[in-house]
Amino acid sequence: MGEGAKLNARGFGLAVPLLAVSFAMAAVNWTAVSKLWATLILITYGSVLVNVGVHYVPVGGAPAAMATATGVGTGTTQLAAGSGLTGLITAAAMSDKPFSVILANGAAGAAVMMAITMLVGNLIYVYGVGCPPCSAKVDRDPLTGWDQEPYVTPGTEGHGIPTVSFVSGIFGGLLGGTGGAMTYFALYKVLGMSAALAGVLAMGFFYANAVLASYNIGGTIEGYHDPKFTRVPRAAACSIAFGIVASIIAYVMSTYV
Amino acid sequence: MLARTLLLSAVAPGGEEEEEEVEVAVAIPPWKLILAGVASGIVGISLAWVHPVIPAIAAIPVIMWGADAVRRVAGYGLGTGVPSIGYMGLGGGSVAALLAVAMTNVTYAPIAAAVGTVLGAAIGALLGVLDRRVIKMKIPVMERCSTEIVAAGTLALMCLMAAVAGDFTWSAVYSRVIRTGIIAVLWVACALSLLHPYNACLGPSETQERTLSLAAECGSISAIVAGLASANPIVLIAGGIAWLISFWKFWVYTKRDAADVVWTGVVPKGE
Amino acid sequence: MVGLTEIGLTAAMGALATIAGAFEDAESDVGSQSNPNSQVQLAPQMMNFHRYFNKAISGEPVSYMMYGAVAGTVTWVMMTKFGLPFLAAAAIGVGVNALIHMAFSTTAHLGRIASAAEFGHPIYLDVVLSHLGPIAGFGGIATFAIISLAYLQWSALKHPFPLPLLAALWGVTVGAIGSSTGDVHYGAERLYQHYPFGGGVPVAAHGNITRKAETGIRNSMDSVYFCAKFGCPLTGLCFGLVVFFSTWAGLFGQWGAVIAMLLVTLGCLIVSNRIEKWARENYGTYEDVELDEICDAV
Repeated sequence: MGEGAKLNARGFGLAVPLLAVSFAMAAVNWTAVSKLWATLILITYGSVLVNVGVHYVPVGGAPAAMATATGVGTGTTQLAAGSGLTGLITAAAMSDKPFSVILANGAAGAAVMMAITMLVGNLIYVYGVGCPPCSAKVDRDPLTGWDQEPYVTPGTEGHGIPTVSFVSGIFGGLLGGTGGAMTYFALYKVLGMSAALAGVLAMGFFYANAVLASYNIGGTIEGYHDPKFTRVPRAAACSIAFGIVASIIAYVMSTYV
Repeated sequence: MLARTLLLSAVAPGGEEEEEEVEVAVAIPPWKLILAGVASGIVGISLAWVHPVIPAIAAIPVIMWGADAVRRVAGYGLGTGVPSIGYMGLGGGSVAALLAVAMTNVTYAPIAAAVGTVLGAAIGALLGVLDRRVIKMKIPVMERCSTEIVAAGTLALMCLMAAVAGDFTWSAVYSRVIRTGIIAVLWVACALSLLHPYNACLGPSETQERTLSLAAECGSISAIVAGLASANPIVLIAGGIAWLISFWKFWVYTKRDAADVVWTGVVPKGE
Repeated sequence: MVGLTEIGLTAAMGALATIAGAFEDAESDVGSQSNPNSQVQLAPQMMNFHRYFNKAISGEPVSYMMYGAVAGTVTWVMMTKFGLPFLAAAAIGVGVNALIHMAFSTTAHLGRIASAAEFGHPIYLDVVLSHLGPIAGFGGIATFAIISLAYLQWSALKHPFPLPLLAALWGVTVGAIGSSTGDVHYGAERLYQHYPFGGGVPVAAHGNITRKAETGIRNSMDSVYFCAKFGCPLTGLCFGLVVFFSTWAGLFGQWGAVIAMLLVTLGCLIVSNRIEKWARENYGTYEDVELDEICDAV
């Protein structure tokens, strides 16, 4: 198995099962389960999805804005919040529909935001800055098999969003959007909060998780082929700990209201 | 495997590299700001039923405390910019603050506010421990500052909610702040007020007095926002006066600290 | 299923979003906000004194979240408490927000330049005053478009979130898009215009920003004139498309929108891959380019 195949197996092997499990969870009638357990499972799993999803989003931070690093030229939290909250808007638009529809809309809304942003970002890198998208972390793009090193401007760490980072970013959007929608569903349907309250709480959970993830990444990540991606277990552990506390707080709040 | 990672990293020492504590020059020691912030915040929320202007103005010392905590932690370099810690403070803080408001259904407002602040501190401590022990950030003051930032964010958000609702009870806050969506503007006003002072004064010649005067200015803007959201002219005017005073202070410190303040000129050559 | 009205409304929202995105980027260029600002911040340290505006108000998503939320809140208060029609209320909301926007911009610039005192960088007051107008103006147009589209979604498409929350969330999205697309044109091209075109900016060149304008000394307003030709419209296009496609949710039955959004995502991937291939074939490699050649200012 070549290096590229291994990287792909790692990236897809983590994202696809996570998404599959979340959609399998949509088959459970959560409003009939004990409220505490339903909240605990949904919010904790949603936290994990958000936190892992942030690691998939290719961000170059400040250096990428000067085409000095591969990825989208903005901060981790910023881009994750932009896509995740777009997913929250699309998920909330379907508030009264079944769980699977809410999840799918959240996931697709966040993914479409990421995809369009990365496409337009690439347009600017190619036509505005005049450099081909390439990665400096791998010799060959694991997906397309194209050479990367000769296309990196000397003195930089790559620029633009190559295909593998693009696919990784779409996964990031799907995971983050699903996680946000799952949290929203737990608050809105299971605990019966109003749409506004559920939206604000979901936003708070999202930000806390995204910041934990961005501290774990520490500035820049190119996608699932980046060596920093191996730090995912730490972030997942954090999000489980935070998710449990957050879901208990949300549950206690619903008993007072 | 995840549980093992969590357990191992909680037990294992911080990391291979040595953590160094950095001395930060302070004019006002942190404990004074903490005391002033907590006292004014809880008293302000308790007296919200007298007039909304009290919690609105009481939010200013709370925000100065939070901004000072941001200043102490962000001096180390977070790797992803100063703002992230502000989002974290309000991400956790909004959860604690909303629980505190919900608790007013079963207890008195001052007790709910105090419990909310302690809960915010607990969430902050949890996030700080996760940052330092699991994610292994090399910031020795992370736990302490994260605790303070989330607690300050919780308290500031509760003050502003009480100011807009005119009373710190669930029914008032729910119908005037949460259901109308005004909580979004209070959330972001608090977050920006915590992170903006140090972020705006970032640089080698930063001083605590200037940062804190800017924190007071941001706190006044938050009070103005609360006045706008509740269409209360008295809160608006009080916030405006506080803004004028704090902006003037900031301007005086800026003139003191800056290399030169000139109307216009040709840039010097440099080297 | 829905009629043409709803699709027309999403198209109108997309059009408003295009305006919002374009002016958001113009505003961030004239104030030099977000990630490229790290270079303006770095320049005095490298003894490159400048007359740029240094507006560091958090990242763009949160600052735009605030503009959207403040304007949305004031609009909502004016509509419900004083019974004003939407357009009049929105005008007041945007006007109030412009004042708060200017207060934050001023303190950000003064604070950052005063903290560069160690390098001897003076504060130029005419830079502050002359830039405040365009900053408030561009920001006002962007904010107006954001709350208008939030209002359409809230009142006509019956979104369950209240108006101020919707305006705040769309503010986060427009900020995230502006800082990840249009700002690259400003940071990688306009700030380093005296370096050769056709490559990233090497780390060795960081901080050595272009300080001369077409005539005289460059200030941040000159940047808009350049970025408005490429970066701003593309940012607008991006936000317009995002809003247009993502508000399809609920318009084509339960699953129609999901399928449509996933198809758009797939389409973006294919187009991006083709552009990457095109760039690789037409621009060639950097194998015969020396680092000195790139770091040598024109």
